[in-house]
Amino acid sequence: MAGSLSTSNSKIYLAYKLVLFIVILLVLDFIGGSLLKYLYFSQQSGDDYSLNYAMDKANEDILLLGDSRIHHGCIPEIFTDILGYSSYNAARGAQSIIFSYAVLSAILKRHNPKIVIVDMPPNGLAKRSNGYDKLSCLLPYYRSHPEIRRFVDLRGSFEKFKLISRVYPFNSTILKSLKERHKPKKDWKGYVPRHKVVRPDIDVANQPADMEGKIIADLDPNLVEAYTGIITKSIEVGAKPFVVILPRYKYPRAELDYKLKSYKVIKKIAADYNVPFWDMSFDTLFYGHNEYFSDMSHFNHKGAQLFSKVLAEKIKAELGDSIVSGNTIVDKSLPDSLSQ
Amino acid sequence: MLFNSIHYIIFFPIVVMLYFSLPHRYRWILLLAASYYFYMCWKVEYIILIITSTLIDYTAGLKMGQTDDKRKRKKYLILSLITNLGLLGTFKYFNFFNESFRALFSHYNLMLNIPELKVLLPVGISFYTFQTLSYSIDVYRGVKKPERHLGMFALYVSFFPQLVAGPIERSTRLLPQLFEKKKYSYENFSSGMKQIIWGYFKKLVVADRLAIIVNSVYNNQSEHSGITLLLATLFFSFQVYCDFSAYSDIAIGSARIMGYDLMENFRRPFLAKSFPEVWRRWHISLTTWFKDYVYIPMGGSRVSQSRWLFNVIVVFTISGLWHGANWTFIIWGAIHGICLASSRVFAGIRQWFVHLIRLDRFPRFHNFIRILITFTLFSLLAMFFRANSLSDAFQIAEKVFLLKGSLYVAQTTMLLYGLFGIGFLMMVEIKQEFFDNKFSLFDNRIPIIRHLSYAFLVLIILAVGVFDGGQFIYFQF
Repeated sequence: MAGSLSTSNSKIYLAYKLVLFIVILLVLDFIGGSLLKYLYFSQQSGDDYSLNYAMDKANEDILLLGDSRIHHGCIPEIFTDILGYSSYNAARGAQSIIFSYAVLSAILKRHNPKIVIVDMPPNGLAKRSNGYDKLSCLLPYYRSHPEIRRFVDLRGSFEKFKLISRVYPFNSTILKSLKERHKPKKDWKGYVPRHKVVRPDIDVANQPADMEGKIIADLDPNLVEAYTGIITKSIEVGAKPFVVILPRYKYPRAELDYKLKSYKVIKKIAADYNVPFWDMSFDTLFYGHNEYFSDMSHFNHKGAQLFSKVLAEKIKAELGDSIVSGNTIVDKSLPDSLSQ
Repeated sequence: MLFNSIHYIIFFPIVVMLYFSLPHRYRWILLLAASYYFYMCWKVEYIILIITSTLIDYTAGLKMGQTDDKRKRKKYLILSLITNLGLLGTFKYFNFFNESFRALFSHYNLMLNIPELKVLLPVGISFYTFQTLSYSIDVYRGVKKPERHLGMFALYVSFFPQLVAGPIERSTRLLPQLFEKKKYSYENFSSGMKQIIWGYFKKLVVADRLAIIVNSVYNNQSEHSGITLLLATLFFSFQVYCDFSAYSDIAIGSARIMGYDLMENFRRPFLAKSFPEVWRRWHISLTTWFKDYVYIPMGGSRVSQSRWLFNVIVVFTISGLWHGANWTFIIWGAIHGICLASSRVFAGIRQWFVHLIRLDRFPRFHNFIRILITFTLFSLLAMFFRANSLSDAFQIAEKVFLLKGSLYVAQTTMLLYGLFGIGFLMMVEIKQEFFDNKFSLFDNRIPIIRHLSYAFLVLIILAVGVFDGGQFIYFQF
């Protein structure tokens, strides 16, 4: 049809067709996006359900933040039993500390927790090869939570343009949404148990451990900022932060951990803010005990039960010097400027 | 600059708008500048290689055109060959041969101490060197007149849509088009855009999704069972097809919007009924390049059967080496050559067998069986293409053929997304191949159905595409 048109008419025809196509696309995008949004937010269990709860509903006194190790390693109910505070595990697998900071920022908009427990892997501040790709799980909250936008924008300078689409924030969520909606699993307040037991004869030498490369790896200033932010924001709202490095089953070349640039900075920042820093990587209660682990660095349910108990007791002992006053734990050891 | 980056999505419309705004005589300058910019986005210094190749071939072409003396013409052809193959040899193959010879020498307790060359492989070097080589050979043969316009010749070498991963164009096809005054055309724009969208679907929904599964299995192959490796191998064949044909689709679509007609590079290869047919449908621009510039000069098929077998296996082995500086690619190419040769050698026996079991009475079923066998064999050979080393490839092959162990799927959702992508792709391709005038959605006569179909395709890309900026596999070649 357009072939018979003159060039200028053909351009008008193109403009008309383009507008028509864009309108159809926007309408379909809106419908598709709304459907995906509905499915996403109606999940009854799983990672996204936990994230949704943490972002919009969590009002627990104890927050557990970090990656898969704490996600599978700390049982909120045990913390509640021992410390007497409600708890929620807001950690998520394969995430960096930026994710935890984003979740904490969203929670602090509406609620002040009393205790914030952060798991920091020794190399948790080093630059990651996959950049900020994993922050895609925060995309569904980009429109509704302005406080997390700067974190999501780290994914790329064009992310905000992609987010014009209503479908894109729910990219690759449809199957999981359907599954978690129709076959929900038990909710452990964010904690996800693992039941596997690691083989005692597992070949440690075969585990990935490019430690030399990691020692000299540059720090990511955004990760450092996020880690510092978690500590300072927690203190600002009167919460008591704890930085923990979770135990491991076995680890090749363990001695190199302490040489990591990242490890030194994690420790230093915690010391600067007078925050308890507990490196439990090689705690003899756990290290080398395969019955507590599902793999080299993740607890199984049995290990998580014991570890949660040990950590909660440790925190209880630490809080012995603190006064529980109203809704706030006032730590006498903090500098005046931060304890107010 | 990647085709699947926002950078390109901004860059390309700007180039198109400027292109159609400029008078014809200035357009080549715009396209050349855009092409060089496109290339320099990876590494600025790399452009020197393209310029060197351009200047040498331009000069060689002119010099060949100035004389009828075959010896002198040959001298300039050799200059072009040495320059282009020298660049390729240095940047792509030096370390491979160095390493291979070192291993060979050490086997006989001899030392070879040539230091490793620490350079990055220039993106697309195999493509543009082959493209410019075809020009020199065509001029030498007298098929093409030497190009006098240096700018146009430089544009022919570096035309950005097909610069880094083809299709490898011939000077006889592309150069004349560069001189033509291109008018804006709605049909070109529309069909170009459709091909681009389809390319993005293949890349983001199929290839990049399958890459996650394939990489997790192949990069840890010792931990996986035969059945898991078999599935990953089948997925890899779809991954590599979608990755590469997606690039070609976006390249062809981008060029068509500006009025240029690039050659078809893939024609539904997984629906081929025999090995020779696969290679008439797979990476057509490279296969025809090897046919015209290597296979036919070696005598082609007009030689004795034994010589023909030799020719085919040699050509495919070289083709394997072209794909990558690793023994895995060489073996992959050689086996393909053997399969192709066997296909002809055993054609009689095959026909006899088909007749014996009366399969020829059911032509549709017979064709289905042929497609299935060809696809399975082609896919299984892809394990050599993907394996990280030759020893890995043989280990994988052993496990796959023994089919030991159970299937391991880390994430069921990932598998389902992958299968959805493959299913959608094959549905479209089967429709195009066998039911061209039926069940039309993407080329329906009613415009609103066409629009809805493409809008739906875009939504699928947004909903289940992988947006981590994955590289195109063929960039490494």
